[in-house]
Amino acid sequence: MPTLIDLRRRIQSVRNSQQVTQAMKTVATARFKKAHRQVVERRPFWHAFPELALYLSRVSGQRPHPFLEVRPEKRIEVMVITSDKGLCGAFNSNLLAAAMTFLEQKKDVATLEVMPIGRKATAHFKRLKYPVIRSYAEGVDKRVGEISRELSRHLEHRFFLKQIDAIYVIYNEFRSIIAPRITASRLLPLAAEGTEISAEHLQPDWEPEAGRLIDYLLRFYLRYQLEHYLLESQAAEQASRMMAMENATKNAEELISDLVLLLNKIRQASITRELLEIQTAVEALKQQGV
Amino acid sequence: MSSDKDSRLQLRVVSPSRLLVEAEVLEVQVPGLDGYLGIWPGHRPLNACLGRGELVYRTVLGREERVSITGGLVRVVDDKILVFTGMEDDD
Repeated sequence: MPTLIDLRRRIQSVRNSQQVTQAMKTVATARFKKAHRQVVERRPFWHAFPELALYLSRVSGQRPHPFLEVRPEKRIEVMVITSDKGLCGAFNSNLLAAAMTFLEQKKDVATLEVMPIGRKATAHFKRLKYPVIRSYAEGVDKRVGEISRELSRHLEHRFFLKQIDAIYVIYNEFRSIIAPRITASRLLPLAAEGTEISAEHLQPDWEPEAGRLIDYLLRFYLRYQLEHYLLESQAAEQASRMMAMENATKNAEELISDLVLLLNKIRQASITRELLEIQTAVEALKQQGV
Repeated sequence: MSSDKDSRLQLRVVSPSRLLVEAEVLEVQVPGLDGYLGIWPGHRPLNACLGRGELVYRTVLGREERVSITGGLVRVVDDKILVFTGMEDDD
């Protein structure tokens, strides 16, 4: 049976941990609100972009822009986006597990290159000795604009030169606070779903001509889509951390109440024992006739 | 002219940072590369680049609203107008 002093120390230590998790939850909540607002405000653009690009290429009836050109997928670049920091529940481990399944599936049909984003993914693929060309591991959340610009140039270059045939991105998409949705989506080529434009549709006017207009639009494609993935992942990360810290705080509370109960029981038992001893002593003295 | 309900345009203006306008409107003017383009219900399908200027639209209540835009592009199809604007070039 633990002594009272041990129990008191233990309770104090759990209480300290609880304060830490509580504080982290507050921080995560504030960050989540910001990230969430950003994601919700930007989604209309992100979602309309591929749709518009595909529509334009479909109605243009021209040779497709290189981004829309579907080649046999021989060399694939897979971007895996995790967070830099831990303490966010199964956020990273679930994503990495999904990424590994994806890589296993593609392994036999194509040459793979992995591009980890975030410290957790970088460490994971380093350990597994995967061919990694480029990775971003520090302060991803602070440099979303910079990273997406840099990466879009890099990927565009490689795709144009046919060094890679397709780019996939595996990331946590923010769905709800409860759990993020792990999403694997193809960034390039932009898949043209085979529906041809029907004949009764009027041919649209173009100003300037179709090729130039599509070039103009697609110049922005990679950069804003990359930004999309990074920001979605961040919103999901903060939501996961918020949930994880809330659970930790709750668990600490339960543990404290269990320990306090035990403490009280032990304390009462010792009081009863002492009383009993005193009483016995009094009885003994009485019998001796003192 | 067709019925009142039919002679409306769905206008959606999006920029990378947010959805700027989503409204039912009667008329839109967008700054094209060679001057303003007026778009009324029943317009031919059009895809055009936009210049810098003000996008002006008249709401179903007859109020005129303005949004300043800095380039982008517009798609008109089936009385639905989608405007993309505010994309920044790298350089």
